[in-house]
Amino acid sequence: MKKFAVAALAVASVVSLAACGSDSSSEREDGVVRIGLVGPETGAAPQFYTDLVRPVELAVADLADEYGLEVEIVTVDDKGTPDGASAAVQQLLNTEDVDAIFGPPQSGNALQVAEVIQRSGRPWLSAALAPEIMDESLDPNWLFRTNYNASDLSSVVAQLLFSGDNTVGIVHSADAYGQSGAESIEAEAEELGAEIAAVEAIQPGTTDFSAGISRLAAAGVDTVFLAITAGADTATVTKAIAQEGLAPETVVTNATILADFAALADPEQWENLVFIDPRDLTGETVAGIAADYEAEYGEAPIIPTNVYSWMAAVDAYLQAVAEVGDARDFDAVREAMEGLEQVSVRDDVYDAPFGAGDHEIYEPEDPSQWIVFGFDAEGGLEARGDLAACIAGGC
Amino acid sequence: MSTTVPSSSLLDRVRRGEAGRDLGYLVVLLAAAAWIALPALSGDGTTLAGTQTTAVVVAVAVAAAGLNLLSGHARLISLGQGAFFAIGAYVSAYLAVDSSLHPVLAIVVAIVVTAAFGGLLALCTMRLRGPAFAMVTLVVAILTERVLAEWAPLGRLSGYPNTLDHGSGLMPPIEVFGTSLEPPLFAGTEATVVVAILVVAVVALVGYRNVARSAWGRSLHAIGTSEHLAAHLGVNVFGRKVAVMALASAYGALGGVFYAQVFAHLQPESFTMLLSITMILAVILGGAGTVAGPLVGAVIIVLLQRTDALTPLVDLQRQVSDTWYLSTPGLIGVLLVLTLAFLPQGIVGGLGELVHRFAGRGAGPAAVVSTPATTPASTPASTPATTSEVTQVDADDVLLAVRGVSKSFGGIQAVRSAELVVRRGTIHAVIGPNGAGKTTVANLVTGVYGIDGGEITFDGRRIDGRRTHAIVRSGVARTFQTPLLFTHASAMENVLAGFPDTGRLPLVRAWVKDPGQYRRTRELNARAAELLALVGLGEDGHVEAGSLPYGKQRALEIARALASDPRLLILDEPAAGLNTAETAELGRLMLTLREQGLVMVVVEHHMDLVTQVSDEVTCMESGAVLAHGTAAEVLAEPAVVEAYLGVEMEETA
Amino acid sequence: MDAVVSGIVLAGLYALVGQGLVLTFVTTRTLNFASGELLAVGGFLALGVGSWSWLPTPGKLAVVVLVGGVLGAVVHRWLVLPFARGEHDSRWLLSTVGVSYVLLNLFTNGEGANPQRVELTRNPGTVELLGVGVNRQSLVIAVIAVVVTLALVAASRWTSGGVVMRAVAEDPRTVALMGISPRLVGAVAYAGATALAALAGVLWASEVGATPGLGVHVLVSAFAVAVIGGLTSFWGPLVGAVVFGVVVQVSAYELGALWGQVAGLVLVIVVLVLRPEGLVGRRVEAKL
Repeated sequence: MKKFAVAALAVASVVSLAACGSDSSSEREDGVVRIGLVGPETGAAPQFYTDLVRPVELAVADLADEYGLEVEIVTVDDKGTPDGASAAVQQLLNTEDVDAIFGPPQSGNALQVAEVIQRSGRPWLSAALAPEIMDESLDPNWLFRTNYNASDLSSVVAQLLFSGDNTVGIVHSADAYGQSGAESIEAEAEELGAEIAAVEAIQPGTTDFSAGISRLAAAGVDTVFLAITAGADTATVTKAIAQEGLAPETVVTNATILADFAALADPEQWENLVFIDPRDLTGETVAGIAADYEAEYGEAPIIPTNVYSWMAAVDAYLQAVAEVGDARDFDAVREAMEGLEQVSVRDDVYDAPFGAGDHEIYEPEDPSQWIVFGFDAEGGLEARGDLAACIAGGC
Repeated sequence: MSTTVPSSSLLDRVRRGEAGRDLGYLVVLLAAAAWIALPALSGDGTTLAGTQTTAVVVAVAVAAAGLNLLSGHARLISLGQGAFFAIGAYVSAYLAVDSSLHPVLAIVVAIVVTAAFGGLLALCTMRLRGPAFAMVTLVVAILTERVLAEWAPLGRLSGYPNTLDHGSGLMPPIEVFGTSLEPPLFAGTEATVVVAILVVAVVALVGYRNVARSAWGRSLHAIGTSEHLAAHLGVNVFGRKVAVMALASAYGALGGVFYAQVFAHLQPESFTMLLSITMILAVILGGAGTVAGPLVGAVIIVLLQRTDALTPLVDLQRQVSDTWYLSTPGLIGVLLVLTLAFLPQGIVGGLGELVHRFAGRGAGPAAVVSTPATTPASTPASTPATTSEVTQVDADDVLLAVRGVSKSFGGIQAVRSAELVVRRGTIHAVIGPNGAGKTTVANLVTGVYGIDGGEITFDGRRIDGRRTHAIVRSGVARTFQTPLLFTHASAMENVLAGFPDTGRLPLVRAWVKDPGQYRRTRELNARAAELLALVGLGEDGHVEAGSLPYGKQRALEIARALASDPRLLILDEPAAGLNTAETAELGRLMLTLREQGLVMVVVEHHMDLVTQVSDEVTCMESGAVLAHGTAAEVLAEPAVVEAYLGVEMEETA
Repeated sequence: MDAVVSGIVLAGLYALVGQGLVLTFVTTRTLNFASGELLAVGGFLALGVGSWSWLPTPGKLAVVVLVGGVLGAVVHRWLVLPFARGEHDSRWLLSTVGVSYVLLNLFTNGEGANPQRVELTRNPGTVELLGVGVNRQSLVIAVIAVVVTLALVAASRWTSGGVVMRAVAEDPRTVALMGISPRLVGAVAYAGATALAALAGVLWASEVGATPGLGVHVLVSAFAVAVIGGLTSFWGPLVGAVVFGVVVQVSAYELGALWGQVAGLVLVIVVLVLRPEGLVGRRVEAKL
């Protein structure tokens, strides 16, 4: 009994210590817009946190004065886990009482908290790629996405893949993004009456993918779509393509390739490789953001596409708040966001980004909004033209 | 045997104490539960994050408690408890959402299914110990992770349930008796499910403690100490390992069910290897093999992971270097290593040792007062051994017969057509130089190895080919060449392990702890005190076995062997390491036991003891019987003399 | 046939790391669960010494392998030895798991989770082997694995050091009486094993880039091949790797890429259940 009492005492002291540690709520001031950021500060992929907080800081510094708002940023750590995200969101909603939530950036964590944030009735901005986060049947819908989603990208890619008489194969990551990307392109193919010859999954971090490629080769694939989350895995796949002598006409993928691919792969691996993105990644806006980011934080952006998307989110939200005049009138802010005439990221302008039934900033229906990129001989990024032009004339 | 019941005040205290301690534990659990439940029922939004955290603590604590029985008590280290947690969570959610099963029934089925899976896995792998077992559990954890991420019916990485397949990302709350059990997710809603979770958790943790402190728990401890020992305590080691794995899996599943009910949505990312590591760390940090250890460990580790308690430590490092520093997972790794190094017994085990030392000093005098009536001085010094003529063996007269038994290990013939016939009412000594195969014969009798040829009968029935625990249960007990004791437990606890309950108490009764158990505990405590007194340890009941002098450790082993009330006792070199006085004492004890009808086989080098106690002597050399007869006859054989002298010459060479 | 050849070549990496596991198991009856992270450390060391232009490549490789060896000895002295006191002490298992988390976290914080290109031993491209295109770097690794295996088998058979290594695990007391320190043998084994892991780390990081998680997947497979082959035989990892590699590749070809790994892991369980000592391990009924 004594032993148990001592143990109970020890536990009680740890509990109170931990409680002290987490008690960091602050008083909110009237008239100040309070943005809550939630991301994996201490998770396995802290870059998603870093490139949530920094672009929001940069954008707020740029825009707060422009819109005449006083903005306060509150950050919480979701520890990179779904249950961590659950607790972090509760803290933002109830303890910090924020006016809007940005994040979590990782799809799994966003999925865990989606319903809770929706029911809380506050504007929610996300750059996560998994389409399932967006439940379009909800009315009102509080989520606004300023990134493309995997399913939209797939339908865009489908326009390219099925534009000729190609035999198409898919390789996707065994993760949320890859799974939904592959599923939506299969759905797309069904709609177009096209056929997909083979679908293979790659485990992130896997050492060899020759078996998967040889299955694609056996199916006679000449056009490959890679719905892959990490550039390193893309490199593994393109290596296997070279090794198995598959020699496809086109390999299409997405911007996640930017992080590591060119650093890891050799020129022969990117010859026929293109990726599609709605952002002008070789344009001056992206370069300017990168320069300011580097000047402020001493390093280049880690996930440039996320940086861009979060800056768009800040503009959309602050514009709406400025229009309504009161960040606490959540419903009005949500409606104002739906009615925004345009959202800008510096000089890049998106007209009519959202609507009553449309909470996605990028539209898959318009091929001219999407740009096809490839690598030059040195591994540098080059824009090959917009998708419409590519389908019409080839890139 | 001895029928004196000691009128010990110590025993009375223990008797009154047990129910009191059980009640105390329940009160502590209920108090903790109330402390968690009150804010959860307030409906106040600011309590939600905290309620979720405490609920995860409870879920992990329950899973860690089960894991403690497996990895702490039975020392089968599992790196896969997280997998069972995940299976429990997903199966209960799937059955409730996708099949039309009532959610409560779904939970029950999920737990049963997970337990069955754990048991099945154990059935396949129970030949394994140590790293190999850990590896299997690791592989299961990795495979489970893959299946959750890849199997479409479980929603894959869209989570379960999800809006695409189920129209909602949340499981509907359970409805029981007209009440809806709401999760701690929405401000303004009372988190009623937390109360249900706490009630079930308290029941589960009471059951867990009952098992851990019962004879069943003792059998796990025995398996953890030595499977060899456990089998000789009448424990069906194989069956028990399967059972404890199933039980641990069930507790893991229950933790997972709690998790599913708290968050109402499952993401595969929640059930990674780190979850399994968290659970084993909770066990180790709190104190493996202690009752409260995993609970304390779970509280600490989950709070460290989920709150900002470690942030100051991270900030401190970042002042030194902003690139090379450790954040939460790394610091938890450091904590794991430090715990192993400086607190191998864990927090509760370490504190327990301190308290024990402190309390032991206080309780000392009381113990002395309580026991003098039963010290071995009162056992009558018996008549000297009469060396009887070895007469024609009468079949009814024989208790144990080893006939023409052979055994070889990897081509080396350890025993060659050995003969050993032990008659009722006798002490039979087996002598011979080192490596003569004496201990191997003992091991063959108790079924440690199968025999290659010949037959062994006990009380007229063939026992060769039967497993150790079955042979032990038919009335054979033994001691070991080097004492096999629970070194960190008290002498009393060691003797208690010797009772047949260790192998025979059904798990359900141990879990429920019916009133009969309290009565049985009192009986066993009294009987154990008698046995301790019989072997001269009347005053050492509360002393840690490992700190007893060597001679007393041997005596303790005998007391434990006697607890099973055997008909045949095999003593393997009981006098090794004893001084002259202790050896004489041992001889007297053996003669007393013989008078009470116990038959003994004693493997011994000590010729004084052999001549003092033995009715018959068999001498072995190089695996074969060299001579047989009375002590005097055998020792007079020239071959015996040569065998011993030859060895001695070799040893001095 | 394609699957068999590529499976065998692929298995080289796992065999090389698995050989380190066998080395420590044979001598100390312990395994280093941090081997994967030490492999990653090898990759980062290669990144570090890569900029020393005054040192030729073999010298750089030697530095990495040497540092790996020292790290191995350190791990043995401070993280294994204190936690492996006797047959029933399995704390080493958890202490090495703990270290793996420390290293993974340290390198994630310090170097970031994204891969960094390593040039040190880069062998890009594909070569034809029996009519099948195989990755050049994987082939190099496989050849090294075979050489290392042959060297270890020869050493354990024909040198006194090899005899000592086997004897240490079976009867440390007798070996100690012969004037050989079991501690020293253990330290040497850990140094050798970690040097192998570091070497594998350099070679593999040159192929896929240095990341903190470089070794996580490799180690799981290395454990698999060591267990399948048998932890008590230096032939074990090679035999296990071939079986594992072929099963993984064939099931990947037949069932889909993702199921290859799953089939390999299921094979581990099957082997442990049916033949716990591994395919070429020795089974002896121990005399207690």
